[in-house]
Amino acid sequence: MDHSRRLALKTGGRLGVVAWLASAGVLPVSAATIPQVFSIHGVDAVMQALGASGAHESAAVEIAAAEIVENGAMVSVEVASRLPGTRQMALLVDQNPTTLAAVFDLPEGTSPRIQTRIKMAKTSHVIAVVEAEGGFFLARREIKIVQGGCG
Amino acid sequence: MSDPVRIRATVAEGVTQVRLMATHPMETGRRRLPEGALVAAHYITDLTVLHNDRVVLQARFGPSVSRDPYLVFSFAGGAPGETVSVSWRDNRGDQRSDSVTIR
Repeated sequence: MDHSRRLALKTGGRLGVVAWLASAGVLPVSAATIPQVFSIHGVDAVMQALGASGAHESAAVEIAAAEIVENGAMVSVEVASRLPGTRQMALLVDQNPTTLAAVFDLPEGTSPRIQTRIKMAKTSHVIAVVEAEGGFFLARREIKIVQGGCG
Repeated sequence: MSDPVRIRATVAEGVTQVRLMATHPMETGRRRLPEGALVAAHYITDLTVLHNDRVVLQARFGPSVSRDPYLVFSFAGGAPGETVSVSWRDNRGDQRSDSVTIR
């Protein structure tokens, strides 16, 4: 067995364990485990790893974006939450090779409204997951992409 | 050495709005050159914004964030002459930190 293969197996195994612990609710999502969450594929698995499996759709979470975007390499998205105690916002793209795009921690005093630009491989749903008082909430919005931008 | 983060911080009615753009290729590791070779993954993983010495935003990015990451957000407080600074680190361990005066 060559060295790089062993390393890949070791790393892969470790990721699996982290994902399993997180999904079992054993492991709280800390800054240390977030990098692993980025390597998890699929909305359900990422939500589980974020501890947000039971998230309910909430009208108090909004995603503002164009309905149709020409260039998937730069999709402008704004996430806003009116939920009290909003302390974390995560952005997911369900059809991207990398599901989780970004996670924002908002200390007290920072407005729960963030505008950024993400890549989208093709037409898909953008999902905003918000951690606030009382747990996790989400919003979902379809954005149509004319030309994909995940290169 | 990478280019400085462009930052604008303006205060109005006790709220400071921060707009920033970090210059970074944000390569996913999936893009191919015309000859077929893969371009290695190269993207910002962590970005922190401070108001004076206090963290006002902590962001973690994956490769789905666009080239030259752009953020707009606001925090309560801030006064003209105070400092907003932005620092980032990427998956290769490169980092940089820049700051601006609130206007």
